[in-house]
Amino acid sequence: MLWGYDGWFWASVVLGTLSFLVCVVQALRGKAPGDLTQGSVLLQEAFLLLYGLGSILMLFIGPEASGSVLEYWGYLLTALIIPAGTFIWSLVERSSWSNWILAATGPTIIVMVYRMNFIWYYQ
Amino acid sequence: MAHDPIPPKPDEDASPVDPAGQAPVQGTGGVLQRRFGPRGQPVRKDAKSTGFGRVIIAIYGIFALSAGVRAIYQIGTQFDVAPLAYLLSLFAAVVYVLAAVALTRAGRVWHRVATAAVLIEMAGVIAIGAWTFIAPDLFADDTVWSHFGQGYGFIPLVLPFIGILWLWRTRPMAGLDDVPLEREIA
Repeated sequence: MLWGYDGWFWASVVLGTLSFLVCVVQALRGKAPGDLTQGSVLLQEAFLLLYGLGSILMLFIGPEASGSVLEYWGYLLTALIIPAGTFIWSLVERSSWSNWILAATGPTIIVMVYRMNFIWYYQ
Repeated sequence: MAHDPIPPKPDEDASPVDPAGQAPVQGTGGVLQRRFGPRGQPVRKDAKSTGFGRVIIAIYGIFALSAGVRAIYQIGTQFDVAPLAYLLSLFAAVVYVLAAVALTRAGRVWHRVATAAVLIEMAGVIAIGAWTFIAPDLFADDTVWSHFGQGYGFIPLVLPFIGILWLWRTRPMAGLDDVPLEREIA
């Protein structure tokens, strides 16, 4: 726990920020989505899947979320849709604008994990 | 509405960039694109479906999703806490869905629908934003539009203005070469 947030949150901050920066740089360079930008979003999807597995595990072994469990899962499922959606988007739209869409994923996921963190510990 | 000799086909109104047999836009994608990307399908090229238009649609889509899920959840589980706030949230979500759908569609009617949705949203965020400052006790819980969208980084306040500018730039009668909205239905 650092400043009231757990490792999951900080991991999402690192992944999301790096992905955001990479995507913005590639977008500004006028590049179409490539392995770097698409991969950075898929990495976040993998992270969220791991986060989801961890959450399922906590249903059995650990303390539950202090706040609304339903809301927590609502956030998690919505978060899982976002990188998948932006990735599919980048497959279809092959212009540098797609990198802006991919860039939006990171900050959005950080906010979603922040909300889940809040529900888990403080709600 | 003028009679179109050719019926509009939204997904086929632009010719494919590459002839059949060649990989689409070769050289712009990596391993992931080749593995998961579409192969040789025609793509839309109108203003609504490329570039900045898509960014706006994506943001509206995210707001439609997040506001909608949140509103349905709150109405389903704790409607008594703040009925007014939750009904307003649901209304806001419906407007976002309408705007997102209308923005993806070509043609004048959809353009008007999108304009109306964005204007309602602009009025909503300003009115509800002011209302939550004047009479905060009416709102036991936050909406997307509370305090001018503060809970969502003021994006709800900025978004309708960007949306209306975009709609103005791509309006069917604009006559701008770089935003050929008419071409896609002609």
